[in-house]
Amino acid sequence: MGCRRVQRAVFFWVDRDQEERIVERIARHLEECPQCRDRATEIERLILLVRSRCPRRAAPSRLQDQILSLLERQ
Amino acid sequence: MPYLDSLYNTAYRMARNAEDAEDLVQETYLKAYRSFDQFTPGTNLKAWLFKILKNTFINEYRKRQAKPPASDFSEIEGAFESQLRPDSMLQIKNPEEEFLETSFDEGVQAALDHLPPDYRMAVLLADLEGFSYKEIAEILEIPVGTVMSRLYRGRKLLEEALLVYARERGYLRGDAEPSKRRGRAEADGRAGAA
Ligand SMILES: [Zn+2]
Repeated sequence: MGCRRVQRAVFFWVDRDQEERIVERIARHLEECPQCRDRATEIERLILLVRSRCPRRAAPSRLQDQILSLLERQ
Repeated sequence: MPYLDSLYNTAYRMARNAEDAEDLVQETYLKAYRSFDQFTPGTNLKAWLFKILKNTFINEYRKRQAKPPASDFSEIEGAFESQLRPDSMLQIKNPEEEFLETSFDEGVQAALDHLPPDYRMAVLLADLEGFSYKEIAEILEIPVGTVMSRLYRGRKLLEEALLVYARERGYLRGDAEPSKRRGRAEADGRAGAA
């Protein structure tokens, strides 16, 4: 796989634990190519940042009661 | 109630307001309850519920657009736009802006909120809910290749919105690496099949 295709594949590098095909395809290239490796690391950190910095909204506490009473009436 | 917070968080990020998110989640559980005989015990309950949420969201979009049925997200951009702050994207695109910790988080949210819905849904399922590509394919009822294509486009747009500021703030340096590999909440766990 050449640099051009790896530049797209780096967006999946963060998922290499759960998607082994990603590793097979680009790991060798990243070992040999410092530019693509730096890019892969930076994109991975950015995606991890999105995961950790996007606040989650919990469902309002009344929502569960609302839904349960709706289901009871079914 | 299984996966309530996960479903609500995703519904909120798709609808971008609390009222619609509550309606979407309520409708999702109602449909799940009515069609529970179609669920195969021992298979992935979380993915099944998210598939119902996705279909509910698309149907709601169709209703609001009052357009002929779209088979996918492709024609449904815009139905929920009214709640979106128009200045939020400009804000994160202003390089002179002095960013506080909180405003970077807001930038992440704004960047997500501005993704086209089909890319946004793929990113939410992968990066906030931790579904595998195969599970996302099942939820969205599209091939894995299409999942990866949407994920690529969504993440690429996030990069365009956030990379420079993340870099400037040193968030992407080795010593600033987030400690958690997966930052999303795991409170209600991975899906039943796992
Ligand atoms: Zn390279």
